[in-house]
Amino acid sequence: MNHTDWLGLSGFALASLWPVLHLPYIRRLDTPRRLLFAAAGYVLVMVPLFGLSLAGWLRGMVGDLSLTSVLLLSVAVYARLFKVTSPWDARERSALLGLLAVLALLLYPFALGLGPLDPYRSGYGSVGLLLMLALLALWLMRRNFYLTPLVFALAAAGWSFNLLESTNLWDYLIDAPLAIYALWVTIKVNLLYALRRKRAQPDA
Amino acid sequence: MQEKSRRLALLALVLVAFALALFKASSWHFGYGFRLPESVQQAAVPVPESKKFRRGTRGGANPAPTGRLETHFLPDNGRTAAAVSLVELKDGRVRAFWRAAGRAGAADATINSAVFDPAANGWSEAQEVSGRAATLRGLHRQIGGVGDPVAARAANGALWLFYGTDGFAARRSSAIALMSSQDEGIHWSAPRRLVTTPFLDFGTRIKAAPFVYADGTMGLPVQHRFITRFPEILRLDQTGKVIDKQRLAAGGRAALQPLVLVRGEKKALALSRADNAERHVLSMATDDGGRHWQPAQKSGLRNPDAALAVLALQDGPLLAVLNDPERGRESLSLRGSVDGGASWRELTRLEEMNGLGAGLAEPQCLEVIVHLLRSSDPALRDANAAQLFPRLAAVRPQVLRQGACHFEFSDPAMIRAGNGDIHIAYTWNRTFIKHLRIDQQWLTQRLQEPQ
Repeated sequence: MNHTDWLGLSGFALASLWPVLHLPYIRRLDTPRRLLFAAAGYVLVMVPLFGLSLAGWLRGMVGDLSLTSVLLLSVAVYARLFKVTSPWDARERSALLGLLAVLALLLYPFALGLGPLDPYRSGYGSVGLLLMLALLALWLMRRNFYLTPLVFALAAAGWSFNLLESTNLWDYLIDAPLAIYALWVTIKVNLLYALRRKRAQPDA
Repeated sequence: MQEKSRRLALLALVLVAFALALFKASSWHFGYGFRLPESVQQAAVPVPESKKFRRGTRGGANPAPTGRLETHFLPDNGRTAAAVSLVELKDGRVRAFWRAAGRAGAADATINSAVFDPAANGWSEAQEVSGRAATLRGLHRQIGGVGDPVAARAANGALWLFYGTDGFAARRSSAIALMSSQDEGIHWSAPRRLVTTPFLDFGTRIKAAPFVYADGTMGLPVQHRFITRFPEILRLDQTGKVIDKQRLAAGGRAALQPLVLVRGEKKALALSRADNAERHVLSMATDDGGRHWQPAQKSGLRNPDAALAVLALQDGPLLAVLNDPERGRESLSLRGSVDGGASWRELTRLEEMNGLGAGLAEPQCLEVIVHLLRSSDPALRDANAAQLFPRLAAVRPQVLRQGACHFEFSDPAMIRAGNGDIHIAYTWNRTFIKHLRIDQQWLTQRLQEPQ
């Protein structure tokens, strides 16, 4: 197994572990036992049974997760294992998910055939796309956002070192499940915000 | 202080990461322009006079061409065969790959291969190259089965085999796997996934043979088939990694399964079957080495939205193997064009069963099948009933359906060998792969005949 397969499968192992770590029985365990359980769970999900691992089965259905998903899942699993709070607050998470939602809307409909232009093509070594992401990362840092610049840097570095099977930068940045999650959260947050504002306004 | 250090560390990370990525992107360049296929050797393999035979012409209007045109069935191991792909080996032999399926259909399909030796004038035994279990292990992911194979010679001399893999059992050839061989197809590397689409990594179907750009990178015509349909060209570097993709026909949804005919260093023609009422093959041309492709236009080739094979000969003529729109897939023709694809004429009818099957009772249908089997392969010409039985038993359920005879000749592939021979192969009645070999003399004479 090469590193791209290992990383691809590990993303699904993390995605499988994360909900399990929320089970009441697991939450009551002390930290060493939770770690042991997580290690055993990781091995169980990664080891092929009857020719295929559970992670491999999920990978066949969804395709590789992006490095962004792997990062977010790793942090979530770490926080759950060591019972620490996430290093990023709601503002950081909203900014990242909002931006990913916008990128998803710019990428998927056109890449899947809406119109003659294919933005996915720009992921094959486009200097323009890289410069745009770099400038966006620097601008966000000036505005005291750190999660999104970290995600962009991770995607750029991962693409440079071919960490995933794909050779397209977009696949390091975003994936379909993450896009759906980002769209759902962004729509929900904005909807709630609009409702709260409406309620807060005095009746005319 | 800690906050400031964190900010500086992140800034350094961002700068280093994007510097690395920009460095990689700056070396990510490729040129436009095509590599012309190897020139045809004029000294073809001598054809023994005794092996030459004449084939009847249409209505006797033209004199029968001399030269060789002969047919064989590819080896059959009791499984139905489809979607053949041909590639010439370095020693002049021809290797075929096809998808073979058993009773379970897609789930137990395998990619099989055999070699045709022109000197011995026969095919080797079939060998299994890949299947679901091997692909699943190699790709480290679930797949429903294997799909159509496409073989090609890479610029570095290795043999590459692309084949479809299904993420879900019901979907055929939704992603592409690639294996390579350094010993002309005897041993193969583990399969590798080509990631070609951003959404769930499926929806790309492969059918046509690749072509080579002037810089040694390979163009692989594919079909996007998820939510919408449109033709594309994937560009692969010399290690088989996808480095670019280009949408053809301005994303036009009627153009399906593109094939690319390289006609010069800057000129090429992409032909595709059309999913519309026009019943004509669509063509897209480029005059700048593939940088831009013109919108799809109706070509002079008529076709009932069925797979076709095309070939550009060194001295200009184009060849196409395809079904006829009036006759559906019960008829298959070899057509030629000497005016760059503006007009086409039939060089020979490879199969013609249009209307002959309907209304035949079972015994008569079986008689016709036996006749077709005998006329398709010299090895079966004088075979007795026992020798014919395995082939007849295999083809019978495919042809005799719902009380009628349904013939079908489909999915052609065509290559030109180094000695000038043209090799054509296609799926014969959804059961076997039939191979046709014609020599340069036969072809030249046919192309030079008056209209």
